[in-house]
Amino acid sequence: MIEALWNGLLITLQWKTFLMMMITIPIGLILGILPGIGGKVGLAILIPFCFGMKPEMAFAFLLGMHAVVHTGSPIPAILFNTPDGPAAATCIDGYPMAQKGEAGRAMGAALAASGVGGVVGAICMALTIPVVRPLVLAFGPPEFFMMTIVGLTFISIMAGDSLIKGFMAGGMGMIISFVGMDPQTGVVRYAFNQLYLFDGINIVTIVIGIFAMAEVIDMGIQGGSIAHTRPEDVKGSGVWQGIKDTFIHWKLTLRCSVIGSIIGMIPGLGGEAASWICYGHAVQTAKDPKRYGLGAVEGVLAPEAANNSKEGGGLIPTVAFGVPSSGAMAILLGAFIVIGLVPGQEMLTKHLDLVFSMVWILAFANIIGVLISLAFVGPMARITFIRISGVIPFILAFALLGSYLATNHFGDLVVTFIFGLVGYGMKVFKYPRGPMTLGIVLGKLSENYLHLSMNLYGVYFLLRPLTLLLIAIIVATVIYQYLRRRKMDKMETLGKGGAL
Amino acid sequence: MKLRSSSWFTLFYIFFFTVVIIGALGYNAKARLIPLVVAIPCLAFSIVQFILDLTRHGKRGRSIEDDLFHGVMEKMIHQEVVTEEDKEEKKKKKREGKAKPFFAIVAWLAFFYASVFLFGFLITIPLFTVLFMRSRGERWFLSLTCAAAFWLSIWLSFSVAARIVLYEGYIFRLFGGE
Repeated sequence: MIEALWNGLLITLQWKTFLMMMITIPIGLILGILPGIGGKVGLAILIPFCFGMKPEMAFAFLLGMHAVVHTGSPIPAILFNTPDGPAAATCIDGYPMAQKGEAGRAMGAALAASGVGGVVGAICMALTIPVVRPLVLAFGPPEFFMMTIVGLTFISIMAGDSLIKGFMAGGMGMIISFVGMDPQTGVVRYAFNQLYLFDGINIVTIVIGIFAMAEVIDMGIQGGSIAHTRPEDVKGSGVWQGIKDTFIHWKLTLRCSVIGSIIGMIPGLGGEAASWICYGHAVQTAKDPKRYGLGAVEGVLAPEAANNSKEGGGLIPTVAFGVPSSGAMAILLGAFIVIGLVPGQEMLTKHLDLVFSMVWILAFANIIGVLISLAFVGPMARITFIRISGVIPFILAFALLGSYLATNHFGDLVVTFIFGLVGYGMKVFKYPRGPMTLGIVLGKLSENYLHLSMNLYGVYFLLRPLTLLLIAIIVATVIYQYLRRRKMDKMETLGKGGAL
Repeated sequence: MKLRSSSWFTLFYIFFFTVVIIGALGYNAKARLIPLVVAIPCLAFSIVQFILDLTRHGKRGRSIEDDLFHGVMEKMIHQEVVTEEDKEEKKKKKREGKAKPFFAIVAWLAFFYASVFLFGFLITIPLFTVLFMRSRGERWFLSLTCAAAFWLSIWLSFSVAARIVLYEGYIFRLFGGE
């Protein structure tokens, strides 16, 4: 294991791998600053560039970007109260700090906490691999089949407001993955006599459609720029004090980093949950909770540490079981397939060096990302003044070029457009897009595992102890979520009644 | 009964899963197993969602923004500041206010696609950038600079660095392109 860790470091320090990471770190920081675009769109646009790349270079390229997306996101949250998803918790105390003239301090604290969180997340990932490895090696096709169903269930029920919509989105994704020739039976499914569809629809094309294209449509409708007011205090004064705050409150930063990476491991939770839970934890454990919401620096440290650390945790189920913990991880799982890697046992045996190189990439990217952000905090804040009219052509061009390069077929562009409209509809009508991506990634995989299980054990594969345990987990999760939502609905109704 | 846009979207799901089920019936038992296992419950979910969309009309399905709009309008009618007709007209304008930018951006995307098909990527990208930015009120100088920068970044990253021959368009293929 130590040897693999060392080899992972050597792989990461190869100049080509390191260069790939250095190219995408600034991209990740910029995407983080521009709310609405974020890591998922960034990953979707960058995946096509990985065709033909060595796996270690491809992961440096993608993870370098994704690791630092949340490093840039507190900047608009603190300065203009315009958060992007997980950075919403940072606004509560970050924006009041900016109003008090402590914008520099808040940004320094947010950036330093992000860096610490990212590194702690990478360490948590490295420490978890030896624990998870024997478990993964004990799994056979029936357990992997059930794990794909567990992943889909978790992300479907936790990703959105409605259980039904989550299942519908996941189901649609699975069906799309069945388009084309079925390798088990040789039957061509859902191709409608179109030669283009015989090989199936490329995942990159769909992901670009439902994320990048959908965002382009949304941005085109919204218009304007991200920041609506001129920044008064973006000079970065007080940044050093913010960095010192991170280490003064080192216990809180560390605790929130660990909590964040644990939450990151749970499929479907991740994202905003990590930052809100850690913000709540900071308030609960504070000596004077009344300060929160009025500009307490701890209120910035807690969510920001969690935001970055959850990415390290999120990689564990993705790499080990092929069950991504979030929408972004589902896209990353798609990248595994594009590169030709299968998550699971193979990753933790044959490609263990590569897995540890991911740990190092996460750590390096976070440190470098924070250093760049601290050095250019003023100019980076100005990115928020870029008008949407200038952003749309750029994203559209790169997204469609990426989609076209998937198979060099004009049909890819048409598919991207169709899925762009579907993705936009999903966004508007609150259908979660994460389950759909996961369905596309796991659909074929789960079918293969099912056929393998049936061939090996017949229907009795459902009676294996681990399979039974996983079925119990699925049933318990669905029932728990259903009851929880019913209770929340009831409380909401009672609340409304009371108000009236 | 008039359907809301969310109901139309759910109908799309119902149509999708119905097509999947009908299509699966034509395959052999092994090939249709998983598609049917997935699509049948999903069709049931879609129908339930459709019913929820219809029954929640005017209750929980309505956004806070809509509630505020209706509340303000009712108050103004009560105070005789506006009439029922004014309310309907304002509602229509509100709907159009959302629909117009949507169709505008879809039209721009259609233009981008048509242009790529005819002239290829390297001409379309700067052309689209200039026209789109100008239509959004940007100055000529900024539009042209952005177009040149985008073109340069794409040409450098794809044609020069990655040595990828980008699609050059139908028109150029007609005149003997690769």
